Amino acid sequence: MVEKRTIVFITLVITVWASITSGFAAYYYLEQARYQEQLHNQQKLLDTITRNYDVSANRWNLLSGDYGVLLGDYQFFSGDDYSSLMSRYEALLYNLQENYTSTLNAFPELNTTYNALLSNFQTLNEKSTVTKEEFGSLLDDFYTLLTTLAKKELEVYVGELGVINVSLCIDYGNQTTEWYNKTSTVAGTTLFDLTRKIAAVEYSYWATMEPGHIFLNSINNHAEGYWVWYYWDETKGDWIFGPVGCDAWILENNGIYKWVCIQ
Amino acid sequence: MLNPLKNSRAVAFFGVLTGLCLAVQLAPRPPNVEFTSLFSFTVGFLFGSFVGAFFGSFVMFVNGFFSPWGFAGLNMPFQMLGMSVVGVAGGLYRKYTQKPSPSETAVLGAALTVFYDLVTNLGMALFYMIIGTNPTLAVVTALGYGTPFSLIHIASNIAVFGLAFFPLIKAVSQLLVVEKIG
Repeated sequence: MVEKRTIVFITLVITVWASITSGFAAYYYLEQARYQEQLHNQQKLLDTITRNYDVSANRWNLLSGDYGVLLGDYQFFSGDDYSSLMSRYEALLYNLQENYTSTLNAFPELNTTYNALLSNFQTLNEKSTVTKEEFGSLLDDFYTLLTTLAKKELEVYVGELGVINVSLCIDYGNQTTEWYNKTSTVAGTTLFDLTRKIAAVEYSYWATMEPGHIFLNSINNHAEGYWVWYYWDETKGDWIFGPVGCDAWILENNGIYKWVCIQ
Repeated sequence: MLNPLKNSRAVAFFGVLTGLCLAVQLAPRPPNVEFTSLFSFTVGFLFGSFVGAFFGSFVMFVNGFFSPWGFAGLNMPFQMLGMSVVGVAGGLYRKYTQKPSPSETAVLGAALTVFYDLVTNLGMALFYMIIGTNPTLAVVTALGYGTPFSLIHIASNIAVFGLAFFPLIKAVSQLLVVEKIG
């Protein structure tokens, strides 16, 4: 004959077992639902990126095709005055602006480059004759801007796939230092994009500076000196002076960057 | 049995136990490994269900403000209810058992932990409902995602109730305060 208390305790053990297994069933059900949702969202994102890539590739092909035709005509042009090609160049420039409006709006440094190119074109267009060198220079600048815009657009699409974490230090040069550790941003972000995101910046555009045209005049209204940037080299264990403009330096995951105001 | 809540030494004893519970709660430890259940059960066992329930709910009330996991908030009443049931169980166990054994206390510890986690997870479910989650989903989510923590809680309380209950009873029984009022 089994004692009553034994039955009570066996019942308690079974209750505990049943509770744990039911709980785990619910847990795995929820986890599976969560993973399925994540998978679904990732698939949707990949589909969107594939669609965007197709649109971007098509855009690039059309514009580079138009550019190629104009370049061919330029190279085989027999006269001395290239002003007859200016209207076609204008159309090309207009198409560029129409096709990359969102990218131009999102990245002010590229918009400034576009406006500089447009201004150069208008200045040249007002002249009675256009030399081979002048028109060639316009074509070169157009191609540089086109490739930069196409690259930037693809970087934005790829950036949607993942998030990177970077750390940024702002050294004001007056014993004041601010750290923005493990700041999350999309892949493909430049140092300029990140700095604009976390601080108020004023900048100037230098057309002749390559690669990258941006020079920061002030960060958070601090303009007593000039701003230079560094990145942390893990292997050397030292800060390395920024070799390009901040708008051309793409951030790496877990990278450490520093702005220093030199008095 | 004297009413221990009217005895200053007993009240001081509860204060010390409450402080001890909080010290353990604040000490670095894995999540859900705690001794409050054991102390509440022990107090219930020694002084009766009512005192056990009072002690359990009082400790959880104080813990609600000092827990390293932050202010308990809406979950505090559920924690107090759950722990008071542990105290009541301690009193009932003494009343209805003739030969307490470590294996029994271990099973009781596991069952009471399941009940406590169920009650506190329902508190979490209520919070989810308040922020707009569907009630069924809120309960399933709270219970489901509470399970890994609950498993740690149950395993640790099986060990704590099975191994520490009888040495604790022995130690506390030697205290003068217990001899006078017990």
